[in-house]
Amino acid sequence: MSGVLGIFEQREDLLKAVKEAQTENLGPLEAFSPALDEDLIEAVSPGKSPVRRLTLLGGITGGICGMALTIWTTAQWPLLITGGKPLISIPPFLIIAFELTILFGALGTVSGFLYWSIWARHRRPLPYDTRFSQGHFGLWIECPSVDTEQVAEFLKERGATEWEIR
Amino acid sequence: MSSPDRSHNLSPDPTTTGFGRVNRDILGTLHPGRLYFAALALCLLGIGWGVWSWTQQVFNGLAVTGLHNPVMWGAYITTFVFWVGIAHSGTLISAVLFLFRARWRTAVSRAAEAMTVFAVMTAGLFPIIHLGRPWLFYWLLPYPNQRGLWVNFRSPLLWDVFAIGTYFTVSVLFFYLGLVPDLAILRDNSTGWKRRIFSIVSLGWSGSTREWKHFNSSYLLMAALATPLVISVHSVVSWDFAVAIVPGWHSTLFAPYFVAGAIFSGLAMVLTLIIPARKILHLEEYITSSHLENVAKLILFTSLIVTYSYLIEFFFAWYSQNPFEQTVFMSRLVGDYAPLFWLMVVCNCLVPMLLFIPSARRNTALLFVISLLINVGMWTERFVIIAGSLARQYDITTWGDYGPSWVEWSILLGSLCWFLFWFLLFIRHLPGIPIAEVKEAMVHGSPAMNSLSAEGQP
Repeated sequence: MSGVLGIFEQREDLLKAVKEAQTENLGPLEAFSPALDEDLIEAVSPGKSPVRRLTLLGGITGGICGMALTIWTTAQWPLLITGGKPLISIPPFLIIAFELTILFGALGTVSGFLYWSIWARHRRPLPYDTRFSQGHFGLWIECPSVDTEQVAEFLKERGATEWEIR
Repeated sequence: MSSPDRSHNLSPDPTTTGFGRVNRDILGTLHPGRLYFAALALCLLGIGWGVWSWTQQVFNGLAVTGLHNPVMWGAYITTFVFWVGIAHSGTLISAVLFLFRARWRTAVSRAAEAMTVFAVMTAGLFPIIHLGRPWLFYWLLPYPNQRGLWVNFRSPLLWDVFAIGTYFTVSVLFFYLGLVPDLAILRDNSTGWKRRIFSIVSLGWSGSTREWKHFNSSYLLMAALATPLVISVHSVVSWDFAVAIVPGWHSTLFAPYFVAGAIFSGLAMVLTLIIPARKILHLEEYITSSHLENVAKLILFTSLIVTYSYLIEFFFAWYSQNPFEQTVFMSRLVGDYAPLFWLMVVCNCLVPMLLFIPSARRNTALLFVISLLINVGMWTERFVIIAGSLARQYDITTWGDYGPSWVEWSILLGSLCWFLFWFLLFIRHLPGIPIAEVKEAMVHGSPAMNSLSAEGQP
């Protein structure tokens, strides 16, 4: 995988470079920023994150598990001291099902974050500069090695203060 | 790396302006002085004293406490409810205010989230301490065993296990998720073994747009899950009492009453911790008096709900025409527990009224004193509800009196030290203010961080 990593000091320069790189169709790109920046996300990776699907799946699993656990264990150990209430009492069991819905939903959400954010990057490593966590911005443009000089020139013209050809 | 014309477009000194300055200021708090270690030692001493007192109870049984018929729930359960309540403000500030887009929350959110985790860790100790045979605590969990026994899911104590267990897990996950970008900052600013540790815990975070996208979505979803959870947790805790038919407990008001009380006490604890912390760590520019004022307004609001609940409880007792119910509430007004009742009224209803005055909300020293009084008042409230109701239930021949023994006071003190111990470790090792969120506020030119964004980029 070859490409060029440009380092920017101004957010506006980066946003402009991203848009122009997309217009000129330079190649797949990834931007880096020290803070959450919704404009940048919209420019580089539009659309909704799939994490919410795992949240829903986790929540539904948790709710079913909660009802199953309470009903099944009560049927296994039928304590008949119920004060005239049915053995399988749905209202208290719903509390357990609710808590497990939230618990499994949260575990699903974190799993989604780990899978799409962390694991996806380990599978496809990108270059990194420690200044990205401080205050600088970055733009990585993937391109064939014959085009790297041209892409580097593009980044320089758009305000990149440094660049690295890989 | 090639840098032919690096000199152009560079800030004069990246550590004095903008993002660089935020890193420097907040990471600078991670090197506290002697006072910090003295406080840590004091906390360890308190924990030691609490543990020693607890061993007295383990060897001699619950007889070393003041618990006896009819008051079998006393200081331990009071303290359990108190700490669960303290935990609530963290979720309110980080999740509920996040969903309402109250941007000022950034300054206090990390400390409040950490507080939530440590408060639940403290609260979780008390049901175990309260057990006669604490080593059998795992009997509360539904696990397959050779006796073919299962737990009773109709019992509110089981609901507690699930509610508190879920709350602890979700709070830890939420706290950790929000911390990941800041852990990457710590990784990039450290060397040696510290760098290796931060590399592992930051999960290799690089700040790429796709990472931020999934992070943002996950954070929002966690906030959306934590919001109903926080309401359910203290509702479940209140049902420990409300589903029993003890006069003074048996009321449908309990769930909202307890949730409001929990948020009220938790917000007071936020001020109790943050006011000294911002002074000692020199974070006045990040946690401004307007942030404290906003917390004070929330305290005032929840205080009004709590006051209304106190009044409506008396109305219920009168309207029910139930003599047992009325006796309990009369004993609160003029009986043996009246001094404690009036203490809670002064601390939780009257003192917070001062916060109607704008200058009082901006007076940091006064806010600190008010927050301490509310902490005392809310512990007293739970004591009056729990022990006060049990001591005066039904017929006069079944009445009794209760006062915590030195063992119970020592364990209460130990729990406070345990909580502060974790909080001190937190402010020493992790950024007390979410650095990435401060930078995000600067990107958007949020009024919360105006003083900073005016000085530098972006």
